[in-house]
Amino acid sequence: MNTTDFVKAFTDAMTHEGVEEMMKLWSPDGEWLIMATGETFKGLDKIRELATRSVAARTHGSGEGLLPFNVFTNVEGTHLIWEYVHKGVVTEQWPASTRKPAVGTEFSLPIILSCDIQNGKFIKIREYFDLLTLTEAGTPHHLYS
Amino acid sequence: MTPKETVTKYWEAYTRHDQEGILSMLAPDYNLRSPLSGGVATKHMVAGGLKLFEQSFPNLKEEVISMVVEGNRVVCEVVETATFTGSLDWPTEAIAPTNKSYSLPFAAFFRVDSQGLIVEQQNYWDTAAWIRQVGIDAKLFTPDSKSLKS
Repeated sequence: MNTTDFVKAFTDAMTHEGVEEMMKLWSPDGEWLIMATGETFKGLDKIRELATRSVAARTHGSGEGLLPFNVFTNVEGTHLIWEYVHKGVVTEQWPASTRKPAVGTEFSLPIILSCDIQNGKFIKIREYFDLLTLTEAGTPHHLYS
Repeated sequence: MTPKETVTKYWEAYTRHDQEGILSMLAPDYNLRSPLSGGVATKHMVAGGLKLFEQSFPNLKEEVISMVVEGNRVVCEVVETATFTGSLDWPTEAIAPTNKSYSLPFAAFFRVDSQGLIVEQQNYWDTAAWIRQVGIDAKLFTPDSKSLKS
């Protein structure tokens, strides 16, 4: 699979909740790091668990979902940037946490994925977002305005 | 100047604490989105923020971990470190330093214009981790607080 097809396959999987399609793009010893929480999901089983958990944790109404807007790779095709806004509604299957948002909370969360690719497979994804935007959705935190 | 050179100079100026150098890399119509910016922040607002944080976090450093460039788009992964040692002076309220340090990995998207200036930036950094490490109350950044006005 060339880089263009790889990126398209990932984008299709991410925007259509295609967990198994996304899993086909991973190296067996790949890692997905959630930078805001410090969690690391290493290996296919753990990455599948993360993806499945994430899909269950929210629903998408009309116009919601994973909405990518800057998607590109470096020239070598070894690094993919996948920048998007995730709009959705929290479900009761949101992972337990001390700052769990209430079921039914609407959120709009900007996220960027920095992805390392080797031999046509993901070996690492680092996911960056602001946890406070999620846990205190509807309470914007303003420094400048 | 290429987009990569522009963004590299931007981070170098940050670590030198060269506020004029930072601002010189920003286009007049520059806009910033970040978890703390509450929508779009202008170049003028950022100038105010730089002064504020220079006093509060005088040892701030930016370490660029990775940089991906495609055309006029640049994405960097950065680790910011600093210690809250100076008063954080809001217009009507000063927050005493906690002397706590933080180390925060974040990502930043940049779009560079044809003049080699940054016209758009979006930061992806975790406010929750930052306030936890430096010991600042998140409520300080809510709209009801005394925020920096343009």
